[in-house]
Amino acid sequence: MILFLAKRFTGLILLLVALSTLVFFFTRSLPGDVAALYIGGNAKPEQIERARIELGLDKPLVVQYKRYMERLIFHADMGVSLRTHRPVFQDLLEKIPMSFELVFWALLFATLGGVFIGVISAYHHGTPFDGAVKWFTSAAVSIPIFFLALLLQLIFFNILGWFPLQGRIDSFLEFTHPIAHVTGFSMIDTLITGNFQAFFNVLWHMVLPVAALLVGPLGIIARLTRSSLLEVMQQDFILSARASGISEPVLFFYYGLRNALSPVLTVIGLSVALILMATFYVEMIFNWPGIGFYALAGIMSLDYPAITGIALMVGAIYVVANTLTDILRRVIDPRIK
Amino acid sequence: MDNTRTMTEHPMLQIKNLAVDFNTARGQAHILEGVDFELFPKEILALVGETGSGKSVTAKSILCLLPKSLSQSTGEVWFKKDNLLTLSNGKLQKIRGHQISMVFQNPQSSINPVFTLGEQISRLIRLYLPDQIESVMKLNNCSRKKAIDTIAEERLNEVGLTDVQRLLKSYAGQVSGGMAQRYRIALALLSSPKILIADEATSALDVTVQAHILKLMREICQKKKTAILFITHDLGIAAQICNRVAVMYSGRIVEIAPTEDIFKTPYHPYTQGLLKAVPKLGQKEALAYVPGMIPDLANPPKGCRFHPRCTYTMDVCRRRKPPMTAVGLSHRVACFLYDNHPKPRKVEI
Repeated sequence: MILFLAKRFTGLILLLVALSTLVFFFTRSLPGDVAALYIGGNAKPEQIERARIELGLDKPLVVQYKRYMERLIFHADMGVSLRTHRPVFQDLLEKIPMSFELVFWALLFATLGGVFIGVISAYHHGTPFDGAVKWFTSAAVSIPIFFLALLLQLIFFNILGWFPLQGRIDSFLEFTHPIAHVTGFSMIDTLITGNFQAFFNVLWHMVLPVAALLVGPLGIIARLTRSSLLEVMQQDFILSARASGISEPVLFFYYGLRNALSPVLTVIGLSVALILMATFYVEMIFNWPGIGFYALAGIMSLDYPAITGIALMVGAIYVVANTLTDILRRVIDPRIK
Repeated sequence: MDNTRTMTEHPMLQIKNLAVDFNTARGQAHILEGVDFELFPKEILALVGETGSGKSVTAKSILCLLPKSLSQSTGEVWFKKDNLLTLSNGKLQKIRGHQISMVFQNPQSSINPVFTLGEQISRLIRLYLPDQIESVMKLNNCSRKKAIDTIAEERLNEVGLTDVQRLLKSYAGQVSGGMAQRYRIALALLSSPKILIADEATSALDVTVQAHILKLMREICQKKKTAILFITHDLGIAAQICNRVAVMYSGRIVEIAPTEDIFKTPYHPYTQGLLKAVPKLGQKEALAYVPGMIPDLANPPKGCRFHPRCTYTMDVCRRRKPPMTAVGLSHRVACFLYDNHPKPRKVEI
């Protein structure tokens, strides 16, 4: 296990180095004058030239790369955002918790709901219920996420009026019950400061974006759980357990499910990346001040330090999530050792 | 073995006209067509036949383990006062494992790979033996978990497994085939069932392990008064441990008799052919075999299903199915040759 973790950790480092190199050269090859963007509109040529020297852009690319990697590795310094003029690392630290809240709930409900629906439809396989689940999951997987987000807004805000259109908290609550900054996670911060009004308001704002994020992964997880479980139910040991007088629900939920979960866990790990990418659109549509919103704004304004930072962060989260699911798989399935 | 005894006793399990059809892409396959036999208390009955003759299907349909979406079973399977084929799932669960147990061919793949052997046996102990757990708890003044462990250890020792504590923490992939099958047998006999169905239970094991397991099964079943339905393709095994032998061919029992009778005076041409095909030590000439192939079950031959391969085929064989006729005390055969004169023909063994 320790060897496995060590391997994974080295893999993570190598991946991040490769990723940062790739992103560095990629962003540098984009058209557009970065120094001009940094200094803003209506700048004099000599001001732009000074900004170019300040950013180190006058040096050869290799020198720039060396300086960039040194700062990144030894100081966790990703440079200064050209758009917000703050260190990118600090920007990310501030934005990550907001997105993380969406991703966390979406992943949690997609996993629980997906596995549950998958098991139930495997248990009732061949019935109209199973058919309906199949239809629903196909639709869930194939619907474009931005369209789903807009559809949710149309139905639940415009027609039914159950949930707010966008934002993280009602604007008047921001003044009457401001969220204290303790951990950066609004759910935790509001709870530990006893700010329940804000807590429920944030929760209420979260419902639609989380729903938009979770539908796709939920469909994939449900389908995979169903097919994986049905395959397991054909195995000798299930027949053997059935012949021992074990009831069908126990066979499915206890004897079969644990065997079937291994491929499902892999997909859950991959879903983390999927949901993270989906937050880019969803946060834009729901005006949610998280990492996706920050990333899109960065991309629009060619804010290359920010783009690099986000690419590194997404890569790191992806690898960590996959390592976690691999560890979980080893725990539930001794065959993987 | 006293052959007359079985005829007078009431059978433990009685199978009447059991027929099983499978739905296949090419239409219905008639896997079983009218299987009749009975199992008496404490006896060991061998069900022998070649691959595809329907031995395993017979075994599985006794406990209604065939998938209902793919197959239909008709006929009767009487156990005590119930026809198992018409019982509800809930009542079947009380019979499966509790009264009729089953051991399958491949021991390792019939143990759940993601739970330890300990987790699996204790689950079944809790299911079958709640009273015994209570009494062990009282006797040893210990916790429920400890009591279950004690019972598990005792039962695993019974099947000749040692170093039980380590075994209970192992997974299916970490034990040998012989150990796995001993463990499976311990599970099957936990509840001291009335009947043990062993479906090719020793076929996947090597010969020395096989001999041990056979001996073990016979001893424990004698002690627990459990009858065994022993399904095998190996006539040698049938001769070693069984009281009676039933020979299956293409979905029917063609001959059933006490072991001695069937080996000394086989009646059915198929049984005769099978016995000729058993290799003998020091044999010089080529091994005899039953010519032809097992019939296509989706489109079986009319009349007696053996007639295309039989040396004695008569007109009637092509038209009608031969009924089971008694040719001796507890010796029955399904062949038109013995309609009027119950003497075996051409016994050259």
